[in-house]
Amino acid sequence: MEVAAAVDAVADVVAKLMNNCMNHQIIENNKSQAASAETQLGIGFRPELARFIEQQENIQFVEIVADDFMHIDCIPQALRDLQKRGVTIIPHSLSLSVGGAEHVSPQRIKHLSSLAKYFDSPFVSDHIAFVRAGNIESGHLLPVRRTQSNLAVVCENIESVKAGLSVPLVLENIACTFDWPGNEMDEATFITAILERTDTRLLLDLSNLFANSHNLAFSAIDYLMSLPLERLEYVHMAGGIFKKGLYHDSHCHSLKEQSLQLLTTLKTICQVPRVMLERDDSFPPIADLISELEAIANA
Amino acid sequence: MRKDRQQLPDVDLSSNRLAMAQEQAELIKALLCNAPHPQGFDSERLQEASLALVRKRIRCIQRANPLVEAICPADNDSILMQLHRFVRENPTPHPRGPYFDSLDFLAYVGLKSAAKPKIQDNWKSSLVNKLRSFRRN
Repeated sequence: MEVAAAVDAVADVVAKLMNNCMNHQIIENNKSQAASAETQLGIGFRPELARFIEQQENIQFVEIVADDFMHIDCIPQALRDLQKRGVTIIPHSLSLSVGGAEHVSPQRIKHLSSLAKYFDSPFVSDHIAFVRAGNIESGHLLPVRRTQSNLAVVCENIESVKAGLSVPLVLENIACTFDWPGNEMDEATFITAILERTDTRLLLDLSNLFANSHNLAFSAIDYLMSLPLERLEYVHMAGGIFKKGLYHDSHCHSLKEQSLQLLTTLKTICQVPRVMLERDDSFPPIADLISELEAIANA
Repeated sequence: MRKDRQQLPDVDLSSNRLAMAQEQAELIKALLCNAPHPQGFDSERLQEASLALVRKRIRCIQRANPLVEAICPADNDSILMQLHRFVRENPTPHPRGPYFDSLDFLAYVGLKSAAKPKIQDNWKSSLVNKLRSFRRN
């Protein structure tokens, strides 16, 4: 009897231990699920913001303008330090021109790929736009006429970019104050077709979406609802200004409430993996930048 | 391979590209070179977009070179008009960036900068990259 009692007692202890272990595992699993459901906070790296970014411990990723670092030896120490700290660095290109009539330059693809390799980036991004035509390099992101014929060209361009990259390509919607005549589909349909045909992911710029919905008079919510949000990789937020009834996505004015409201709505519809602030000029006091980052994080 | 990707027709898109090249060239010239607006566009909107693009380029030039900023105070209409003309006549920004763009502008208004940087030869940069990569490996 004594032996049997002792065995029971040991069995109880083992059961309790196992139970504790399982509970611990469940807690750990929940923790990791919560962590994976968290939205990472980021910011566009600009030399003027390097010191500020270095001081923000809640910044988990930065986006760099790939065209600003044409040689690997020009990469500033500040970026290398961020990388050492575990901050993810995402190369963001302005010049692939996947929405252009020309084939995408293999050199540009190679450059983007080499930056991704250097920083061990999880993906790279560019825009659904064209930047050059008629031997003119505009330096600006311009919209593509949304026709089936142009859609086929854009998809072919994107496939050629993907073939030259070792990481996924993520594509962004642009802001515009005018639209093409003779569009065969709306912007959300065009973007959806591109992402699904080329199996690419989405960089959703909510400030660009607000700008276009205001300037071209469509519903931003309808647009959001018709996007393939399961492809959402990250979100851009930037400030802008109203001029003569049009909204200009300037990246050098304060963040607008309308963009933040769209972010709040988006978070109710889907999981947002990453969201970041873009500021390119007229840099505000640090307190203002911090409050904009907080507004994005808490939207 | 995804089903919708299999549906992509394997066709020669060169005629699509030709038509696209033409419509995009017309738009870009209207926006940046004062060329006539292509048919069907809202002219007022194109004019507004064109001005916004020119202002953005000018701001890049000013930011890149304090000398340009110094000779272009907001109330100096004459210099600002020259900047507008320079941007319209040179719609493609300098491939080496806004600082070189600003040097071209200074030359355009008759000012020469003493600090034109020497461009590093590509082979030197390539050698440095290779050496660094070798050191990392």
